Amino acid sequence: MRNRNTAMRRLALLAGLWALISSPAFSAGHGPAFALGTPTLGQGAWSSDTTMMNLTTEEDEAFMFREMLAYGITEDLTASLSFPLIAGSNDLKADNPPRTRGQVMMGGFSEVEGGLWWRFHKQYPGEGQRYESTFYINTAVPIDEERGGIGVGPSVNAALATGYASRTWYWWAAAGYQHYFERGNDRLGGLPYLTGAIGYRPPLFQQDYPKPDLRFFLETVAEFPERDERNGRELQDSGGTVVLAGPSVLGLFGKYGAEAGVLFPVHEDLNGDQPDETVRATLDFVVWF
Amino acid sequence: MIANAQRWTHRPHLGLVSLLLVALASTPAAASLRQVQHEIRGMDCAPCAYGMQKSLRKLDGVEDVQVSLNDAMGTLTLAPGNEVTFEQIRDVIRKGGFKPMAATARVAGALKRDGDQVILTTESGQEYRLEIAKDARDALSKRLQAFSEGSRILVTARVPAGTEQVQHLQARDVTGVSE
Repeated sequence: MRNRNTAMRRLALLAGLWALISSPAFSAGHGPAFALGTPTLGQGAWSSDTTMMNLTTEEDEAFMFREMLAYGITEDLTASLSFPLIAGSNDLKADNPPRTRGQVMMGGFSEVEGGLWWRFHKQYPGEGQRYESTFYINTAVPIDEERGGIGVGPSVNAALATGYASRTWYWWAAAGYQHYFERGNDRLGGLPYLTGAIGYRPPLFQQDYPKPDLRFFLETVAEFPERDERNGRELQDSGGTVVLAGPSVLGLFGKYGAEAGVLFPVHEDLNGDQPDETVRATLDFVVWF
Repeated sequence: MIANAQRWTHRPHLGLVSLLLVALASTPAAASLRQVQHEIRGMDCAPCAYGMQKSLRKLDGVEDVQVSLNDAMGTLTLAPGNEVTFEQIRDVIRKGGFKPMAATARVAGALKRDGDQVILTTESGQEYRLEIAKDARDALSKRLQAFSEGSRILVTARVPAGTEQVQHLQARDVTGVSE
């Protein structure tokens, strides 16, 4: 509980600080905060998504400040680049942050990630409704040489997301895998993950554009990190299973958006001696250009 | 759309003369599309509407764009003399990531007859064949007969969804244009 309160206080403080120094920035769009969605960006449109993320374990806290830029090459193909906002130290991260992508749309801790999002399926059954599916392929380059004493190599992330958006209800389901290549004789364990989100926009917030739009999500993220390898040998105190769930809220006003969410573990089964994750929180500021 | 320009490219002198004659004969400041209410599928959020509004406003000749998420509609008001086409509007909607459906439009142009066919020719050279909606057939047919060849008219029409190139307008109302 102490960790939780500390994390929330720190996040609130950082939010205030960020609001003072930041410039408007695009996001996962109409979608969830943690889970993978199916963002839509028109051809030639830009977006910027600035995120703060906090992960708290029983022993430590990790912070991540990231920026994600996206560009619509076509209406169905988007290029993205996400990177830590604070150059050099990249973020206020812990020495050995949990093996996670954090906010799944973006790269993990200390990684510069570029990628392509291909919306290969879309259907528009009615006014304001659409079913769509997106394939993600990203490559990431680490900024740090090692994490928790393990050499960090570049990685490749592939994911598939499908979902439904309307003026009232939303849902998304996704699955992905991040594979780390070796550095020296070390290798971070791969990261298979599943995400899901359902959303609802109450009638009070169904007023027409340009009035504000507010929607609520219930999200879940399940991660199954594989064991890390040091000098070619698997480490017993690595890998496992983490399943988190929690609420998030997305507010949209014209080209601006803000999203906040918090996840709590509902199931944790980490191998060996590893601290349990206690809370994961995010705050996201968005602008569509 | 029936384009005369392609035929003219083979007979440049004749084309030039024709252009001059058309320019002398036509009434100035008659717009083509005056207003277009286009149904747009797939917009669910404020940024979707913002992006659509911004992209449609970039079309040369568009004076104003209003987007309604609840009605799934984009309403364009166009300046006199514009050369905006339905295809351009639909292309912008598609490139924005959404699906253009049917539209209701007010289109101004010169009346032309080809046998039983009534054709609306806009200043930019587009030609639309007018189909008269069943429920308005009697009244509209009479009203159209009152206009002579070359009269400038303003047609309120429905443009169905799914057509790659708009060649027909389902006319609902016709009035004369005074300017």
